[in-house]
Amino acid sequence: MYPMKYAMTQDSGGTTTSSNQQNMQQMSAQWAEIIGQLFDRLTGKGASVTYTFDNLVVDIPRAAGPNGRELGSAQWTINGKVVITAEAHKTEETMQGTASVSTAA
Amino acid sequence: MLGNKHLHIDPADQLSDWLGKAMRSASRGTIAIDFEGKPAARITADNGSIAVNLLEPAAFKISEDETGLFDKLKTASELASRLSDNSVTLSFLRKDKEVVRLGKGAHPTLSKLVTRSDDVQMSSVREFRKLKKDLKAG
Repeated sequence: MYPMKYAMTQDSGGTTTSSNQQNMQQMSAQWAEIIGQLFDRLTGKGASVTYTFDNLVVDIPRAAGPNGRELGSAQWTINGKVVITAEAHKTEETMQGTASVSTAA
Repeated sequence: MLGNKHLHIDPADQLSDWLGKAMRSASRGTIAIDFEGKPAARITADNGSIAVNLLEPAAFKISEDETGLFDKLKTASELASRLSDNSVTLSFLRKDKEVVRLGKGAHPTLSKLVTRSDDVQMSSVREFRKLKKDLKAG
């Protein structure tokens, strides 16, 4: 639920490489901004976020593999917990942040 | 693309198309999100219907930007149209009460006058106002 400021457009083939590069750079900067905001929020609150998956069934569609070989579809059932915590460590010259992820089935 | 009042979702945009298909692929089940040990949100999938229940909406505060509520609704209607194309219904709830429903399962009545879309249903104006207040960054 963070502000989505990225450009949701695609070119139809008539654009130059430089404008594509500019779009890519712009998009990267915007994603970096979103990640930065998320990190600030987590570290600011010293937060831990727990994702608990309870019988989440994901249908993986049939896909084409190398040489057009058809790969079978699959159904994944996900159970368990993912805990993400973040903390900031102040060093002599810079402020560094670390994040850790732990999982539990 | 932020232009002419609201954030547009391009008809050829693959990201929103992929999003719709990815949401379709989670056929059933639940993801619970706890923030600092407290339940913050619960996402439930059930054969093409995704319900996002914000149990602690204040944990999802968003910063102000240059688009207003009406502009955001227009963007939502474009996303909802994509969801409909992928037979997906996405609903947002605030503390177990439905606020807005997007996509295939939306049946708009008065909200159609505002959004001009068949894919956005404002289920409760009262809860929508509350959610707007909750999400406003302090």
